[in-house]
Amino acid sequence: MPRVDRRSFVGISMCGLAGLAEPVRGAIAEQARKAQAKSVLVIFEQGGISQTDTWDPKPDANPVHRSPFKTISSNVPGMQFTELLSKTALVADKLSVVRCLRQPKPNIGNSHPLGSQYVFSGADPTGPVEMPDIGSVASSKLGTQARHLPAYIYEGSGEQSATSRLGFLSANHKAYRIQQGRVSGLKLEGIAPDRFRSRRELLANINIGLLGDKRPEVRAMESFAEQAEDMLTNPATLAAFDVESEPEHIKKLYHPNEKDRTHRGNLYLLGRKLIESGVRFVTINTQWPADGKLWPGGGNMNWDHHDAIYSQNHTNIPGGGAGSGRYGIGTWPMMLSTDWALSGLITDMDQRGLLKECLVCFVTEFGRTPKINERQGRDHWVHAFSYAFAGAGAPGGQIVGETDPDGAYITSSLAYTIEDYAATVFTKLGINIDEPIYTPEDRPIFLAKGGKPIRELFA
Amino acid sequence: MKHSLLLICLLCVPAEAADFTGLERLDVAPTELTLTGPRSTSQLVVTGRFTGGELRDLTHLVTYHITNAESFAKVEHGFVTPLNDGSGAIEVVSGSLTKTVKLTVQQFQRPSPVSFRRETLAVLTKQGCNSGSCHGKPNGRGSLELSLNAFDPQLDERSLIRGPLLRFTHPLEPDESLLLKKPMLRLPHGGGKRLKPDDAAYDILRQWIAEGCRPDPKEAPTYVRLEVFPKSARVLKLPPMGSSDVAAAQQQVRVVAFDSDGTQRDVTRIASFTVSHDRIARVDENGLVTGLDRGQTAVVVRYLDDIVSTYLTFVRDVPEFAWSDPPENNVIDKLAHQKLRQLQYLPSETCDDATFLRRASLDVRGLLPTVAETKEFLADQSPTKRTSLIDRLLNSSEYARFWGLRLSDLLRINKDKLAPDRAAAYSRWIFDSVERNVPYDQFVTELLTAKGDTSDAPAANFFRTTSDTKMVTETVAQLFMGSRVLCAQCHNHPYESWTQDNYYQIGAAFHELDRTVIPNDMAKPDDPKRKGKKKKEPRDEDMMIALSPGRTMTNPRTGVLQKPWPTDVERSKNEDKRLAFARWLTSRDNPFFARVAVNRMWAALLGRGLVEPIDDFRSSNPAVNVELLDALAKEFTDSGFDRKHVLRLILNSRTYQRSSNTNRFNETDELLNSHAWTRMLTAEQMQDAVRRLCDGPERLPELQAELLATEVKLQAALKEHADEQAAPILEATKRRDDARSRVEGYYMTQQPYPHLTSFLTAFGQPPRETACACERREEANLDQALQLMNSDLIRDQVAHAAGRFEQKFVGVEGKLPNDTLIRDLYLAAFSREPREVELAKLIAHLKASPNRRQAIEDLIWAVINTNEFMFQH
Repeated sequence: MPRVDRRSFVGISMCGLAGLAEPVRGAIAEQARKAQAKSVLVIFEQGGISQTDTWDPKPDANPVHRSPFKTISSNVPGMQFTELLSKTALVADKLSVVRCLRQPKPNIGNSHPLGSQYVFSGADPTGPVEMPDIGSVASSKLGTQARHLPAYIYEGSGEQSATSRLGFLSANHKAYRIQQGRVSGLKLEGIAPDRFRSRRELLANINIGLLGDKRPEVRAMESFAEQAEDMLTNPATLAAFDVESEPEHIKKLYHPNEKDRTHRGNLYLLGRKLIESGVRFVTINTQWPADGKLWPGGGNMNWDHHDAIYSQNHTNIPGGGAGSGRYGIGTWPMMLSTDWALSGLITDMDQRGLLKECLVCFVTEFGRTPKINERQGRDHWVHAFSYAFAGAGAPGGQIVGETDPDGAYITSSLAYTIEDYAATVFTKLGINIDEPIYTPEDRPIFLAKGGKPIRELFA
Repeated sequence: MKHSLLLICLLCVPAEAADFTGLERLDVAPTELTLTGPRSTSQLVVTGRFTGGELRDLTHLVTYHITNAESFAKVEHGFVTPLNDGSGAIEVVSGSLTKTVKLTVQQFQRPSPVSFRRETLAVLTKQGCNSGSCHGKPNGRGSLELSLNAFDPQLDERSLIRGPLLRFTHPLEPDESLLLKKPMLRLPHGGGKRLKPDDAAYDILRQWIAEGCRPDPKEAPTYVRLEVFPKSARVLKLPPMGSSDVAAAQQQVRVVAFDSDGTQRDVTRIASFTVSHDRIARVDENGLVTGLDRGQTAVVVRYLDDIVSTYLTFVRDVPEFAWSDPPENNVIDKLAHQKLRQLQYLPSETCDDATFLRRASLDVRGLLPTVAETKEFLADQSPTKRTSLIDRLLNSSEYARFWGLRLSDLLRINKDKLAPDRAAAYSRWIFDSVERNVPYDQFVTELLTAKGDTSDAPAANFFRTTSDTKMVTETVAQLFMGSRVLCAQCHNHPYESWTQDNYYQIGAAFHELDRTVIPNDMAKPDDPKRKGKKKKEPRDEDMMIALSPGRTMTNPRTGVLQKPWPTDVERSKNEDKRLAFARWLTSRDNPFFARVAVNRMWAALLGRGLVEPIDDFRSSNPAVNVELLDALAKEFTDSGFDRKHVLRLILNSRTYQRSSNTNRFNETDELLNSHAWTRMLTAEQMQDAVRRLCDGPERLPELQAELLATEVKLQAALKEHADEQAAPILEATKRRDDARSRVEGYYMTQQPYPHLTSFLTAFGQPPRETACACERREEANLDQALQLMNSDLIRDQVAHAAGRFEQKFVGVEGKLPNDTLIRDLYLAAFSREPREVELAKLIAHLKASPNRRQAIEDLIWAVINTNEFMFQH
């Protein structure tokens, strides 16, 4: 395309960033037509992970507020995390860590439900139209790759799991939700496959009541029934969820394979299995199960560390804090299991070649204050937090963006929003966000409204 | 070039096929014409009246002559353009008939600057620049932001004139303006090609730029209203199938704008046109409509942000079609038949008794008929048995609960927003009003003017579930006016005439409400009583709905104070502003209230509204049968807003009682109720149908008897013990409550709030979070198939039913009478006897199976999974 200096007639120069943006966006749009990802796996760790304790170490911060966890090097020179990511540091060469996320919407900032819905949909949840999850959009735009499995599967056992939304899309694109990895509805209960098939034959014999009815609704149900039969009788369906059948050495990539130490790792492993089975979009949103015996005082173990973030066990403080039932960030149910599971996931997916065409996203709804509060906790912080990405063309061994020495504010010229994250995911999947989709009322809706893909992930 | 010349010549010559046989009269709109200024144009519309009263648009088929030697104007396809000052006439000639239109052109030499607000913005709308998917979306596209369909001219002035420092325009070299180069694709443009040099828009934009991109002077007249010709209800005849004579069913539209200074301007070439039903007709950019198929469409004319529609009906002679004069039971059939006959669809026959019973029972009560009811009805020989059944159904309390549920769906009655007790009380108030058949205007007035403690005044919960003025506005408009004014909160609605001001005027009627949480002991953290008790959720708190007279509302965009709707009523300061609103809303003359209500009833019974979506009434979305909707609304108002009267009328009509089987003359009809509309049972109906089939009719009476027994025991205990806290009383109370919840929780169609189990959710039970009927999802989906095949509910119910069927018949006859079992099952599931072929197949199935219990289970499972069971037909 010949470059035309279209502003030459204007007396005032309009160059600068705005002038540069156009060709860059064009280049990404070019890539969008060639989808880099066939599928997406989102690890949504809900509650707001403290960025300065994980992806964005600040060894030079004021000692009063500094994370007690050491800054360590990774397998990529210059790429540092805290020691809470010491296993993940060994696969840093597969990761793009984006340290310049921000979530500047004041009406959402403090809310876990709205913040979570924002991450699911990539759109401001307080807008006039209820927006579908990114996964539901992917299902509706791209369909399934494996007919015996739903296109969008969602492990929803985290505190804010109910904030997943279908919005205005048709019911077929609803997140297929499982909890704690337990499949309900896809496993034939109380009946052997052979008998089930003979039931279907009997049905075919007597299903003559509305035979002449060509109404699309009737035909649609018949076709869904066939698909349902396929799902229920195809051994591959349940095999896709069967984490236990994985060999020992694979399981050990994700967790130590000891009793009561497998929860998070198994669900990350389930994510890998579903992607490998051809599921289009998988979201894992879990937290360590509250078990009063194993984890005394632990009731709601997400990342909402308002109190005693560095506790060696539970974070409950005398007089009641801003939240109770968490465990300190450095404990097993929190970062230790997460680090093990995430490093295993990246290693396993890389070994299987799945990173070529699957985008893995490690996300949270916001960060935590760089300052420690009077309850030895950290509160919500929307001005800077970190995401990590792997696969589908996202370069490995890369840090994107920079924050100040306290980890408080973004100092790089780059800064990205939740919409930019969503734009990245859509663009990786080859979904063109410049074209609106339409509600049943014909209202044009822009996906990831106003967002631009994180360009460093499109090398 | 040769080609285009040839094309032009062809277009100049009236189509030779034009047949003026039977033409009796020519009418031309306007009857005389004055063009003022060089850019003033006008579209003539020529209508021919033929023998028999048929009207045809001849605008593009007649010839035009200017009766003046020195030609001062030209006419092409009825479009008049001035060439110089002068006066004379246009002769419109068609065969032997001629009509003369007086024509004057004046002030041709005077400059005629383009008006930004009335012309530039209009063409930006026409070319689609400011549509919701382009620059009209919030924050615009690229660096150009326009207001949606030019509803906010001040923003557009900022964006195009004052703000961008001539970025988009170049007055010295207009052709170098981005505003022209981009849409003409002389520069890359994300929106593609939007402008051609021969568009009227091009001349207007170019001239406006060349004139210095000026906003309108302060004293300039403003646009007031639009007139579209022809007015509604014109019927046009399509040529026979296969004919290429497209001109036969065309209609030219003419659009005139009226300004504040009294000026009339023909804006046909700068208005935009769409049709509501693109299967029925299409319309080109100049307002020429071409019919494609039988049916009705609105031609929607947009000028600036205003919308006016005109309705056209296209008919066609269907070969071999002959009207069979099907019997008519009441006014509904009369009007439905008129439409069917006009459009040449032949209604299906009346459905058989079994189908009618199942259909009416599901529609009125939500429940399948019992086997006993079915046997009795099928055996009944009375010619009026359908009418009697309808009366019986409408007098049941199941009717009240099921129709109350439909209303409750839209009032956001869920147990998350209101505590379960309060939700149930609110629902019961609605059930009760349906059961007592309270006149609908009275019911709505009570609802909209409710106040008091939400624990004591159930209706006051309306203002609890609509937690602020905006939500009240949107809910009231959608529920009772069939209008989705939500859009108007931020911008004028793109497809209807409610404006942003109207939105805040309706809001002003409800803006004096206070929602005060009543403090209770739980609210005080230091209260010793609080110790050990759980903090109350917001839904558990009591709330007082009261008025704070004098609170006003302004439109936040303009800052202008808004009078409460209706704005022409004087109210005193202390008067409840809601009263006048409710009076306006429920008055006999309100154009929406009765129509929206009867349309909801129609949709619930016929499966599809006369207006669809059922809560989207606007001129650009006409009813499929306007006369029928009007007649139903009149029946409703004349009966004193008697809901049962309208339901009875519909249920007794042949139109409701049609078979779902189609014939060759109605198989393509989806809108006009020429045959019944097959649809899946709703979530609640489905679960109840499964229950009724599997539990049998005895289960609920058993539970009811059990409840009665616990009541008796409780009364006895109360008599026996003085202390209300005595253990036997507590025990008896608990048993009674458990029994009651078993009875009340038995049928989902009868519940005060949704239970939202995975089964119910799969079949579309709404969580009741919005006032939109669309929240109830009706489309088929995979999860439904999975649920019917493999859910806990189905598994448990099938197992239970198999036991019941097996034992029942063993008990009665001591052997296993397969045919009785199958008959009973079919009567319960389908309200009909099995056919011979079905009986034979199923007896063979039962005989062949080594495990009888399993064979029965398989049979029941299969019955539940048939189309005939899961669909209403």
